[in-house]
Amino acid sequence: MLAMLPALEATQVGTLVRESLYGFPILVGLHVLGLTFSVGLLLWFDLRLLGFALTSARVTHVYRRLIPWATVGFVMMAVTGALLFTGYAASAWGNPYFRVKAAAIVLAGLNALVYHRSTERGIAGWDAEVRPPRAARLAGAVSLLAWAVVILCGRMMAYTMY
Amino acid sequence: MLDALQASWLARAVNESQLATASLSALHLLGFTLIMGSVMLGSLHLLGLLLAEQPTAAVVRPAARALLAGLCLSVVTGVLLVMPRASGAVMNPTFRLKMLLLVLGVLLHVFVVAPLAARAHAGVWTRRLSGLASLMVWVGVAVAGCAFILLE
Repeated sequence: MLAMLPALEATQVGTLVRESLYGFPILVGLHVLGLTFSVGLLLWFDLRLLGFALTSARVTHVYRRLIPWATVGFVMMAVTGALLFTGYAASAWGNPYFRVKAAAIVLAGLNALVYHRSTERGIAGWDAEVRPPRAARLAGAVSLLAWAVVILCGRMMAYTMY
Repeated sequence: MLDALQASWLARAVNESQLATASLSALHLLGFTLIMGSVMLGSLHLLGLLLAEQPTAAVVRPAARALLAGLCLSVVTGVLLVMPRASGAVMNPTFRLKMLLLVLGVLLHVFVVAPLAARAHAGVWTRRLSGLASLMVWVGVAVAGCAFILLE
């Protein structure tokens, strides 16, 4: 797997990301915009789970309304992130902040999985509650924390990679 | 005055420590994510595209609180980040545009968007235009901010 990283960097896409005059800044700009859109909107669902905001709306309702918009930002962030990784795969892998960022993304994914597979099952009983049960509040808190770590480490990478 | 600011111990401390610059930049982006999340929620709601069936006050008020928190974090870290290169930054057209749009975004929020939370019967077009203007101005801040740091 590690041997593949320099090969990934050497692909045409990887070279283009690294060497084109405006390719890198445009990709980073779109990555940051996608991030602020997706995480910026997702945080409102987390705050609803915590009972801190949008409490007059049902939890499922907030989720259904927010997710399509957050997904647009998420796709933009993921595509540009994958392209940026292609250009700098080996140096990113060797960067400690990248590893923490990757771990936080996995944590956010697992947290969402646990919420949808388990916590959400009993939602009919607390959908309209201002303060959802502890497991749901925990899911909101973990998501907020994980995405904050992703943002902080992502920015730290830029100063420690080259 | 800018030269004095640039020569201050705080500016030198930020400039001499890569870790301090990186940490401030990371917190700056975290604050901006809060700002954009608030602006997206408030603007898409006013445009009738997100949680349109909810009362405007129930959406715009929490968004305003998060906007204030994001602004506090971003402005404090932003001032610290720009201090070591203050005299160069003020001459940079992209930085000037970012600051202009930032001021415009705050003014739009204070005088147009926030008052809409108290007006239950504001016209549809007043709401839509306010939402659109706010969204465009803050996306402009994001684009100008990225351009300033990446193309400098």
